[in-house]
Amino acid sequence: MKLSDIDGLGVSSMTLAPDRVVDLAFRLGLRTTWLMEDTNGGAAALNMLAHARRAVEAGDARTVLLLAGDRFGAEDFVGLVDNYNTAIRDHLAKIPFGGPNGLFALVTSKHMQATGLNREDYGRVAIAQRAWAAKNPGAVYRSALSMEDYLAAPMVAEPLGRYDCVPVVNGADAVIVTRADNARRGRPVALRSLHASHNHDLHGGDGLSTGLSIVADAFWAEADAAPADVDVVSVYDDYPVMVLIQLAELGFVADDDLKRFVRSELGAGSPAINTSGGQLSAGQAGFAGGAHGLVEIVRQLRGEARDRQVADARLGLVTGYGMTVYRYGACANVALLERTR
Amino acid sequence: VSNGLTLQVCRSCGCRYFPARLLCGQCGAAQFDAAVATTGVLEQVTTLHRAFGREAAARVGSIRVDDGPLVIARVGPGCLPGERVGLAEDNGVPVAARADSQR
Repeated sequence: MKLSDIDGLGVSSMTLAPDRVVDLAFRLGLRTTWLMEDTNGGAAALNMLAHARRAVEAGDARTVLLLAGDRFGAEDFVGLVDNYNTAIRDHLAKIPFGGPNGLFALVTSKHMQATGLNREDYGRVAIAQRAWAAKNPGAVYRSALSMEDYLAAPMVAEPLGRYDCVPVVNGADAVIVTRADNARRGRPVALRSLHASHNHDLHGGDGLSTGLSIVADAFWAEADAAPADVDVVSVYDDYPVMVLIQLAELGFVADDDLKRFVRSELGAGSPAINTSGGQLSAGQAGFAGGAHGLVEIVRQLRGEARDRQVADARLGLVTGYGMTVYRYGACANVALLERTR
Repeated sequence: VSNGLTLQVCRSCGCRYFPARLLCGQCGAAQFDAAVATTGVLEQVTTLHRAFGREAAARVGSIRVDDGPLVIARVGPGCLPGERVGLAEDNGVPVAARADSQR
């Protein structure tokens, strides 16, 4: 494939301003018939994928390049967090609220109360992902994490410690989307199902459910698959609590027994979960965070994951979650991808 | 700091909101009245140990406003989860204090 084959461009970035997507086309030397920009954070990558799928199906573009990337310093981040939206700017920033760490500390303690999980259980999520990160040269945290290390790490906002929170990094991701009949060479990956639900509870809930709870049945029906068929999963991991909530909503937790799942199944590799180390180990590159898991699943299904390759990976699932409109994330989406050859 | 927290009340169905909405999510109406809530129950609370280099600790909590929404508030000393708290508002920021310390 050549650069000139690209005729559609989508981007997600919070630090692209004052440029917009067309400025990026200009700087990349792309002529396009289709442009889009999506600013919905952790859900942006799958939102863009949903749009790009329709564009290539309808013929508005033949080959779409989807980019996600951010580059900032700690100072930029404070301003972005406090001015994330009007509700946060006007009602949270001056508490002060500690950014998403403060809010998801409250969600996590509510989840502990509702499920009986303890700090060690959330630690098992971070530890299991860190074991994968040791095999990802692109991860920020790569050394093994013990439960002692996890529990002894500085507190950020009870019950969240340092390793419950994603390290902020600079980074970028890219995928190319085209029609199946235009992907005859190489090892393309097919999109089998993609569903989204945003603001599903009108923000009247407690943050312990996401829109995945609304779309899970339709998602699996379109996929013509069940959780047990999936080989590898990238579940959006801004915090361990959200990993567990989304996996349960999608049916990966048998009998809804979250304690057993966390203690004996999460790290067992069936399916393999967050094989890049996730954002908890690889870092969160702003709005590129939503594309991190998508790129990892594409790599796994193309057999390009090197030391962390899941053997014979055929079906891969990706979720997106995010956009704290006030107390918790309001966006959720999920995609199932399949190896084609 | 003003006593009580100003909520938005849907004129059509009575749904109560904070922060303000443009339309009522329950019934779609666009007309709202204001109501002042003075008490709620502290559900969860956390202490911010460090946020982007800021060393001073601060307490943040979720408050179930009586007959109203869950809001995020600055939480005063001595408030414990499960307890009733008094509500105030500081420039748009909900503030929770021990109910017996309210005027």
